[in-house]
Amino acid sequence: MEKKQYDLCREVLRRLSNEAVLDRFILVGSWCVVLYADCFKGRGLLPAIRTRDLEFLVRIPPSYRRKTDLCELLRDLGFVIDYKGEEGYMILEHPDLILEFLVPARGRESGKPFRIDALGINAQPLRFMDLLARNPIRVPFHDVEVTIPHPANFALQKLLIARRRKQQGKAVKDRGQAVAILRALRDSGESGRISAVYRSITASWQRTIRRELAALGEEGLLDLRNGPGNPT
Amino acid sequence: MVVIKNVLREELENSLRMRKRYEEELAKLPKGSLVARRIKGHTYYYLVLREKGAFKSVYQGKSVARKELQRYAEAKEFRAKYRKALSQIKRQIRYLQGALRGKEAI
Repeated sequence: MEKKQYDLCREVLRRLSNEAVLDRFILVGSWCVVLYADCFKGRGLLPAIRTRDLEFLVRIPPSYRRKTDLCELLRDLGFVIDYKGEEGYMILEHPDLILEFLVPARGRESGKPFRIDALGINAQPLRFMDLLARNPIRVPFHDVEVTIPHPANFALQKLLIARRRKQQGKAVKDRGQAVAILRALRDSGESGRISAVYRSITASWQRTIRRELAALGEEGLLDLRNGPGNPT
Repeated sequence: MVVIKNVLREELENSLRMRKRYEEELAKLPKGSLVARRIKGHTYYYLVLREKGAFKSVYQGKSVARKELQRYAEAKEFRAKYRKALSQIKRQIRYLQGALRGKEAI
């Protein structure tokens, strides 16, 4: 990983932590794989090929003790505000890092940005984010603790969204990451964790995951022999 | 291969968008720099800038509001940051365009 990018990421996280904002964020996206690779050392999980995006899932309701202007907080690092897509989802850009903010989409898809006035930002509502927010784990990242989704939740969510991707490249990347993480979990003796997450989701999501794994020839990664709820 | 190309293409789009944004931010900053000159024991403020390639110094008075001084000081700091960022982005664009310009169709 490029040192400059890594150092900038550290500084951003440190500032968010100092402002007590980081506690309400879950780091999602490909940066998680970097942290999982540390958790699964020696299990063959390599940090993924990724873009500069550093994506934060904002827990809702977004209750904050005090107002923090995130753009102002990071401005002196050289970040500039930009807006993405027709709806105008806010992003903070730097040549080494792009910060994006996401929230779980609820109800009918309107696509409208979700305003978070306490932080002076808006966030993009996305499907399947709830799954990432369930059973998150906290991992150390230098001098701060970062909340990330449990690897099992992360991998199964990747399988769910792969089919919805418009770009084939992204779908291939999602599937690749999902399989690599599921294998690492299995090799660490945590297959039970995969099953537990699988059983906690809706039947239609379970079907999608089974279909995805079958297409990849990796049905064996979903070990459902123990406990109730075996697929028919 | 499709994954790598996809990432490179996405990053190129990001860099092109960023270049535009940094250029806009640079254009928004006040032009020139406020300097204080000591002449015969007195301080005089000048706004120094380049116009159409020529150096220009515009007298501002014996004193300038502290807010204005801060505004120009901040602009100077951000101008340096944004220019550095812009030069980095331009290098990224050249690299990414080169990487994507292979013999295969992209």
